[in-house]
Parts: sequence; structure tokens; C-alpha cells
Amino acid sequence: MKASSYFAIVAAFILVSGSEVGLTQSRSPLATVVSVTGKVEVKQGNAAYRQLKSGETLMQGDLMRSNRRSRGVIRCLANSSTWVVPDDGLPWGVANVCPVPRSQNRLIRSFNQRFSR
Amino acid sequence: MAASRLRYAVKRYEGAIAALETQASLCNSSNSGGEADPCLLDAVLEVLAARDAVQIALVNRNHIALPGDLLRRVRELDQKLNQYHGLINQVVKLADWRDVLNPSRENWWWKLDLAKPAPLRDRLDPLWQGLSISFLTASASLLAALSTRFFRSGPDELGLSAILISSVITLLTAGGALTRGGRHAIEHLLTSLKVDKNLWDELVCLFSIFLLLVMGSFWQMLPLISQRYTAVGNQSLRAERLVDAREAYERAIQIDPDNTTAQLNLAKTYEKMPDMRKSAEHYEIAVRSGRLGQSDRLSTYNSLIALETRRRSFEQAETWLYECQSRMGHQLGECSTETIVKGYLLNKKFVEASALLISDRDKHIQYHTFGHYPPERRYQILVYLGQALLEQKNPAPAEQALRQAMQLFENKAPAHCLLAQVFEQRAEATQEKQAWEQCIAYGRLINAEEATWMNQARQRLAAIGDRNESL
Repeated sequence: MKASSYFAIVAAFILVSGSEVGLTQSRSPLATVVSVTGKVEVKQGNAAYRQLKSGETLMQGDLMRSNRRSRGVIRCLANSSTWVVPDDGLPWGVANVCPVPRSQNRLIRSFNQRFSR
Repeated sequence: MAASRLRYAVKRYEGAIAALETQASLCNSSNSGGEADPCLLDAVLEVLAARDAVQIALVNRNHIALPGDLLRRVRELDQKLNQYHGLINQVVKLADWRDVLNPSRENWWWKLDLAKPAPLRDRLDPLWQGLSISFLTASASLLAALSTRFFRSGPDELGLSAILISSVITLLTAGGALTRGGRHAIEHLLTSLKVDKNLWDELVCLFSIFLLLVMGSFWQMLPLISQRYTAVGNQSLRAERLVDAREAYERAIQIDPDNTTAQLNLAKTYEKMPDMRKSAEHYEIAVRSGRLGQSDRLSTYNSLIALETRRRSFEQAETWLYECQSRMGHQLGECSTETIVKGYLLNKKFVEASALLISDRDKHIQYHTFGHYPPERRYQILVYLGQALLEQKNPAPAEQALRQAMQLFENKAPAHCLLAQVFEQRAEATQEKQAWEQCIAYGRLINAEEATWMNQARQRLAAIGDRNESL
């Protein structure tokens, strides 16, 4: 099938689904930083990486990375579990281990139900 | 003296009746015309005369007590004589002989032609007997049907006792009504209960009706008994005792084949076992029964679609999908297309996946249904479409679908992860890096697919050069 036909298919899907507004773009708080030792950085939204601070609140969509021999510990708000950011220098998301707290989940769902049609 | 006279008279009476019996059979076989044969005349008159002799001996006993055995014999012979009253009336005209002999009032044997007609109640006895046989036959048929339902998968306590009681009652009644031995037993019972003999046939008929009613009620109770077994099955299913659950549901279905709840739960039990073929079989029976409500029918179709997809019988899965959609009309979107699409994607059948989505899209256009889906579902369909197109090396339309999905949920990882692969295909490193970062930012490690994508993301980021420069 030609690429133009596929465009038509997708366009048709978009047409039948109607225009949509980003429904769950609000960034929910997921965790707090328990302790930071060494170079542990955070990237929020489109901003550049910056040093993570103890006590800071981390949101859904935030990225963290930790240098070798550095240590960053966070605590999830939903279940109070703690997690050490792997010190491999690669980005990790707060959402990788911390679920969205239940009450927020419900709020988002009810918002979606009300405004999605 | 009186006793020996009576003994002699009884012997004559006995001989006369025996002779009448013999003569009757001889005359009947030699004369087929139906008319009374004159050859019987002498035998009949001898019987009547012999009875006269017995009566004379009885009357002239001079206050001497007679032997009991003789008296009993007289009574028995009188009963036999009574049985021949029809024959006697055919052979002789008793009225003429009464004119000749002028018998006394108590010599009843000369008045056998004047016997009162039996009361209506007794004349109806054949009707009661016929009805008894009909009711008993109906009861026996019901019993046979009940036994089949209860014993098809082996007896259990409840089934065994129910059928045992019914069988005993039926056999007793049927035996009583239809066999000589049974009749004797019933006669004995009714005699000991001092029931009037004239009412016996009516009583047996009443009992047959009662038995039929009992059997009919039992038959009517089958759905209730079946529900009881379904409840037992549900308990076992909840406790994960799958074999027990299966047995209970099978029994429930055998007792009441219309029990669709048991049928569905049996399918679920087989699904857990797992025996997909059997599970599909029972889901199919349930959906074909036509007794499922709208929501049960929909979930059954979706279970069938999921089952066949898991068995990789995609063609069959699509058949169920189309049947589901045709039955659901404007609610066709409730039929789970995504299950099959996901199956296709997992099995790398990308062309089939996109083909199914396209055919589904046409129906959505026809029914204007897609826009009414919950956003989560629309997101999933767009992601599947993006993935199918991506795997077919059509990055541009794939990007279009994925961006549309991201407009619905920006904070879900799948669209980002697939979009990163679109950019990878197009060798657009900056955008690829950004998309992989988003994939990691929203991905969840508890989701196997997202975890795989995140792993891929880190490898790609390391390759592209996202690693912290200070490392």
C-alpha cells in the first residue's frame, strides 16, 4: 500500500475521533527526594538538567540521572517506597517506579469522562 | 350325619362346577358361533341343582355344628358360581325355571339373571384402571428423562437420592397397578387399611395422579436444582478449585441445558484450567443459545475473540468480531477489535493488524462511533495503528497517528516510545533523543512492553550520546 493511502487512513481516524485537547497534561507530583550525594541531576519539562536537591518534589515526566559513585534516593508519594536512582549516567523517569497516587488517578479519570466528548 | 350329608352335597356341587368349567371350554372350542351351546344346559342345571342340595343340607343340619372347612368350601364355590352368572344366563332362561321350581327367596342362584347392575362407580373401574396406566406411563417417562439428566455425568448424593425416591415410588405404583404380584401387595395393603374394595381402583388412580404431580413438580424444579449446582460451582471457582467447579457446572447444565450462567462459568473455568478449546466450545454454546442479555452477549463475544487470539486462530477471532459487530449495531465499538490487533502485532502480522484497523475504521465512519469511545481506548487504537504502520516502514503516517494519540494522553509512554522509533527510522537524531527521553519519562517498569521500550531507549540514548558527559 502506498504511503498516501496510509495518510488517508490515519486522517480518517483523526476525523472520526474529532479534535482532542491534551487531557492529562497536568503534571502530578509523584515523589520527594530523600537524600542526594554527589552529582544527581533532574530534568523537568524542556529545561536542561540541574542538580537535584534533598526535599524537592518530583513530578510525573521528570527525568533523573546519577553519576557513578553518586547516590540519589527518592520516596514515592503513592506507596512510600524508596528507590535509589541507578548510577549509570542514563536518564530514569520518576514515573518508572512511582505510580500516580490513587486520588489523582480518580480525579484525572473523572475529568476525562466529563470533558472528553 | 348332617355333616356327611353336607360333605356329599358339597362334593357334588364341586364336581358340578368343575364339569361346567370343562364343558364350557369344550363347547366354546367346538362352537364358535357365539350363541350359547345347548351342550352346556345339563351342566348348568346340574350346578344349580347341586347348590340346591347344599342348601338343603345346610338347612337340615338339626342344630349340629358343621365343619368349618366345608363351609369355607361352600363360600368359595358360590364365588365361582357367581363368576359364571353371565354364562348361566346365556344358557338358561332362569325366569322359566323359577316358574317351574318356585325356589325360596334365599336360593339366590336361581335369580342370577336378576342381579343388580353394578353401581356406576364400579362400572367406571376400567376407566380408572386405564387412567392409572396412562398416568403411570407419563410418570415413568418423566422418571426416565430425569434419570438421564441426573446420571449423565455419574451419580452424586443429591441426584442419587432424588432419583432413588422417585424410582421406588414409580416402581411400586406401576408394579402395583400393572403386575399380579403388585396387585396382591396393594390388595393386602388396602385390606389391612380397611379400605372399601370398591374404591381400590379409584385409589390407585389417585395415587398415580399424585405420582405424576410429584414427578411434574420435580421436573419444574430442575432449573432451581441447576442453580444450586451453579452456586456450588461459583464457590469452587472463587476458591480456585477448578475441577470441582467444572463438575458442578457440568451437572448444572445437564440438569438444565438452558442454564446459560453455568455455561458461561464453565467456559471461564476451562479458560483458567487452561483448556482453550473446551472454553471456546462453551462460550459458543452460550452465545448461540440466544438467551444471553446484551451485556453478557457482548462479554461472551469478547471472551471468544480473546480466546481465539490467544490460540492464534486469528481468522476465527475475526469471525467472532464480525458476528459481534453485526449483532451490536451502533454499539459495534464495544466488540474488542484491539484484542486481535494486539495479537497480530505480537505475532508480527503488521499488515493484518492495519487491515483490521482499516476495516474497523470504515464501520466507525458508518456509525460515527469512534468519537464516542473513551479516550483511553482511542489512544490504544491510534498507538496500535502507529505501531502497525511503523513496522511496515511507513514512518510518516505512523507519526501522524502517534501524535494524535499523544494529544489524548501526553503522559503515557507508548506513543513516545514508538515515535522515537519513527525518528530512528528517519535518522532524525535530535527528535529521536527527545522522544526516547519522553518514553523514559513516562514509562512504567511494571509494564513489560514499556520496560522493553525503556531499555531500548537507554541503549539508543547511550549510542546517540546522552550519557552524562562528566562520566
